[in-house]
Amino acid sequence: MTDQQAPKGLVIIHTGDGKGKTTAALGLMVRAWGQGMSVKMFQFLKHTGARFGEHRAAEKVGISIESRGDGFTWLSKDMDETTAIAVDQWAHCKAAIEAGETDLIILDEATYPVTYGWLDADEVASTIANRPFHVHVVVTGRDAHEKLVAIADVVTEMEDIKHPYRDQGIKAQPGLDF
Amino acid sequence: MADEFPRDDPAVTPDGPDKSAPARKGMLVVYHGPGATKEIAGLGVLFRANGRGLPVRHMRFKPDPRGEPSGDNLALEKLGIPSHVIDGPTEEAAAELWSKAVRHVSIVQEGVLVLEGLLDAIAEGWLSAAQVAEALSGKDSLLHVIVTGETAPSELLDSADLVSKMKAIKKRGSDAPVIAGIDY
Repeated sequence: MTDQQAPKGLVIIHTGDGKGKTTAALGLMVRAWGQGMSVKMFQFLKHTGARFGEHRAAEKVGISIESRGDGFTWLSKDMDETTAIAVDQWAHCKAAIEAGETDLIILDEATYPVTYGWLDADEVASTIANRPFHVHVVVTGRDAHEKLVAIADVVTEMEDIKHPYRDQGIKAQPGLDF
Repeated sequence: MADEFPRDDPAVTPDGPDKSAPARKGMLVVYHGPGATKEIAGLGVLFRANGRGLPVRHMRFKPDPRGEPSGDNLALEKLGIPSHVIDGPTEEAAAELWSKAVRHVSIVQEGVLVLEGLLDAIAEGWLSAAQVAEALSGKDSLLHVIVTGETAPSELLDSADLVSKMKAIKKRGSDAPVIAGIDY
């Protein structure tokens, strides 16, 4: 949607300890895609080349999901490498945001590299705040940094009321969780 | 760098690894709260499960408020995901759609069934919370059932495996324009 009627793009954050943050971002991506918008997702932390349900589904319909990461931090043996991957992933995000060719861009799990200080919070916040007029940016992850919250139009907190892994020791389920 | 973890390892989630847990279980998931985000969470699960080639189905217990098809409807159609929308805002229509859901739960043993706005149909008094909870709990199949709506009755909260509440921390003003592809 590059016509002049395009509404101003929003900044949307899904945060909180409950499940559903990435899932809801995927849903928004699918909704926008259904309306003919161009969409793109960048995943932080998840393994480079991850093949979860969302990657398989996206591939089938030509939606781009780019994962760059080495798993979650407590699994990382080399913090320099982990930081470098996040910095590289951010460069791809930034380029996509500034190019203005994609209507909806999702930065999945992007709160973590900001919180951990691998990415500069001011740089991330100002890049998103200064995006092209029509571009929507969605950020997911726990504990969204106050500088990200400050530039957001919509912030939804997923509150963890009942969690099967914690409460029942049930594993993440294919198709539901990944 | 060495790839030490299987790429599809469910242990690699923000919630950490747990190797001792039962491998598979059909879950009852409740996404509720005032935030609009609950609706799109169901859509996200459908997308994921569809990507895995699992049988998926969408049922919506709220009539579409707009004359034009929503992004959700258009996307489900493009993805080839079967979707049923309530015929109208009536008890009869809710009962008819609910009977479809019950049939699905009894026949289909895996995949995902999203019952969007089911909680709102209960809140309207069209369906009984106790009946719904009974039909959706205690199943031993691998089917995941996702239930959404504004407020969840205690019967469903008790029987659910996973409950998240969507709270609006920051929202647009009531005069903000409705945006296609974001709001519907």
